[in-house]
Amino acid sequence: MPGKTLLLSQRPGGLATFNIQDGFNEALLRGLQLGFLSDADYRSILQCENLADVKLNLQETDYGAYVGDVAQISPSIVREKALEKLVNEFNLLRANANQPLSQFLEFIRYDYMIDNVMLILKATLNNPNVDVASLIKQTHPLGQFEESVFNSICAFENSPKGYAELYQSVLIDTPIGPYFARFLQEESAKVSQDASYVQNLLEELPTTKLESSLRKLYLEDFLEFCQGLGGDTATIMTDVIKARADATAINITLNSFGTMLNDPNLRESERKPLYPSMGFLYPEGTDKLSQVGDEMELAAVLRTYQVYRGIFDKHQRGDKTIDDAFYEREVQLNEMAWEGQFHYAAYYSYVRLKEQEIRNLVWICECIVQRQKDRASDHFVPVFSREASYRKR
Amino acid sequence: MADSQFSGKLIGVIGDEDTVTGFLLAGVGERTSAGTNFLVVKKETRPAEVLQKFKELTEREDVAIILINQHIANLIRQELAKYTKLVPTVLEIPSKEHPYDPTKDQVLKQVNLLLGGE
Amino acid sequence: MSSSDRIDGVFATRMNQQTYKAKVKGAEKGYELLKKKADALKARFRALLKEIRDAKMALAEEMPAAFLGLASAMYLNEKFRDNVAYEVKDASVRVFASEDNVAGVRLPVFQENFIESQGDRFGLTQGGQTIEQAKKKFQSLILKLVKLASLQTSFVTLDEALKVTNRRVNALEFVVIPRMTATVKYIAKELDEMEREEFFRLKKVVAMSDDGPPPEDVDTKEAETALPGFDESNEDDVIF
Repeated sequence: MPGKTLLLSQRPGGLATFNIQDGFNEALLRGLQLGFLSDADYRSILQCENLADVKLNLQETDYGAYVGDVAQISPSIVREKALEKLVNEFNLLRANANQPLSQFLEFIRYDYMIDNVMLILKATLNNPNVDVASLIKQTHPLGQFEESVFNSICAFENSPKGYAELYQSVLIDTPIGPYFARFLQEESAKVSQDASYVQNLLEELPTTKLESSLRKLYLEDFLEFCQGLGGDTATIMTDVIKARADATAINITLNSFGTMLNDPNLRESERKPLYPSMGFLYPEGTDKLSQVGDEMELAAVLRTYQVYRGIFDKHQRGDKTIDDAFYEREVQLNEMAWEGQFHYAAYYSYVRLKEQEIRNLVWICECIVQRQKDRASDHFVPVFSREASYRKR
Repeated sequence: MADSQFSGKLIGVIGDEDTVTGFLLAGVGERTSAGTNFLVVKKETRPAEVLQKFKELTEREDVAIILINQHIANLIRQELAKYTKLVPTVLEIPSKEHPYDPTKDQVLKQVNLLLGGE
Repeated sequence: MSSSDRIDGVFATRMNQQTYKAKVKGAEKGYELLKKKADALKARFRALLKEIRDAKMALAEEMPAAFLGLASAMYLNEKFRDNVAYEVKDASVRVFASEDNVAGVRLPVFQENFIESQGDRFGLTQGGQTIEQAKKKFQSLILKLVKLASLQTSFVTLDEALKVTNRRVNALEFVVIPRMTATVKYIAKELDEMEREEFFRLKKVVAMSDDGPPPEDVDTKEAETALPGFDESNEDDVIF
């Protein structure tokens, strides 16, 4: 496993020693923090009548260099360019990082690697003659493997032998290989890497289960690593990761209503294993969640958790969808990482908050394209906004 | 193909990513070993590919309606104008980034002509 | 009236006159009926045109809302688009074709059928409900599109049927009926002509028998009795 316990001297967070290793990167990161779009930026973008105007406005911001030479602008291009910017910034930070920060940054990337491997698996399992080049384009740039890895994932034969090769020679070598290994181990007591066995698992298992299991293993591993780092990194990352796990558990419960997973017989056997085995709700909260069958019961379970009661109230009142409420909560938690110094949590926050900013931008662009700007306030959550609801008391 | 008698026919879609995603989400998509009943047209997709898919869909027995984004229909306008079969019916639909342009719609053009400047 | 306007090769006989008079009557009846059919089709056609235009315009208005719903779903769960594209297996929306009948023209009518799947839902961990809403929006779009498809095929079929019917109406009005009436007139004219010829011939025969050497008594009597009879006789009764 990538996470291993560090010597006390290697732990970041010491006031006296932090800057020896991580000072330069910390400075870079604080500089990048200034690049977030401000309330004023959002206001002027919201006043645009078309995307050409949005482009003009973006040219005044940190995005200027990226959107400047775009001829035909569209929401998807905005997303593409903004991601490009994020990736460049991330790579800059990564290139300057020493251990253990470099490992921490790699952990951030594993998240996206899981996304990409899942995407490729879903695509290739369902249609064997998929176009590899276009598939690679759809993957998240932060979760990029070397191109040879991508090509060999896509090039494997759709046969038991091909699956065995895929697993043994490709996936096992990727940073997230250990999660696959653990998953396969947990799925069956016989740790056979027998070809047909792996294929059966990959083919017959709902991909949602594979994905949520990988994600669960990843989050556990990441959490363990952060706690090994100690200091503020551990404190803040524990909060953030646990909150994420809780959001996943609540969402799975809510979204399963009306599907097979809500079948009383399947709740325990099928739905519960999808819950992450961590978080503030874990274990007694997730135990209760695994029994609920409708929104009323869900609300009753969440009533005892102040934060989630607030979020679920918003959902039930119809103010916001539950996902929007969770986004808002995530932004709030991640902003907190910037209050202190000498820790790594801000790097994670930076990526998460930038992702949120990109979502905001794309959503606003969509509203402008569809000429429904009045709907823009439906979703986006500004980052470091002075007008955020949780700042107004 | 045999059971299409009982379960009805398919709707084919040729469109940009968002259009196709939307209709696939609604459940029109079908993937068999023979292929799919939809095509995602991206910037780099050549008109020849669009045309090929269009011909393939029009020749399939189990397709009743073909939805095609207007801006994509424009790529194969000539062939589309020549298409006279009744079923599958070709319907031109607006896309996300290209709002509807009534002056380019083959059928609507005819309709307006017949209604005479009404 | 030139000879090309009537039907060639029709002998001017009493029987043909009857036949053609009947035919003209039939054609006129047919003309009226077809005219009525054309009117019915035309009325339906115009209604259809308006319906199509309205449907297309309504569609143009509803699409942005659907796309925005999709954008909402994308905002909440970016990955779902790829999942949708790659997890497609069986279509849950099917279309049935039946027929509607307008004045004898069969119009194809499509009827959609949604197969509700209780299976997996997209965005289980994130955005599931919003994705579900986007799905609903696109499904309602499909309802409209299927209706529009029916309208459009009806439009094409009706257009064709209308053309054929109009062609027939015109053919009857400007070609068939005029030619037949011309034929009837021609026959009547010919018959008149033949009658006059016959009358003249008889007159000639009578005149010759007056001028010539007196015939036998019986012959003169016959001729004398025949002549008054001919004078009084009705045209129609004379049969040659």
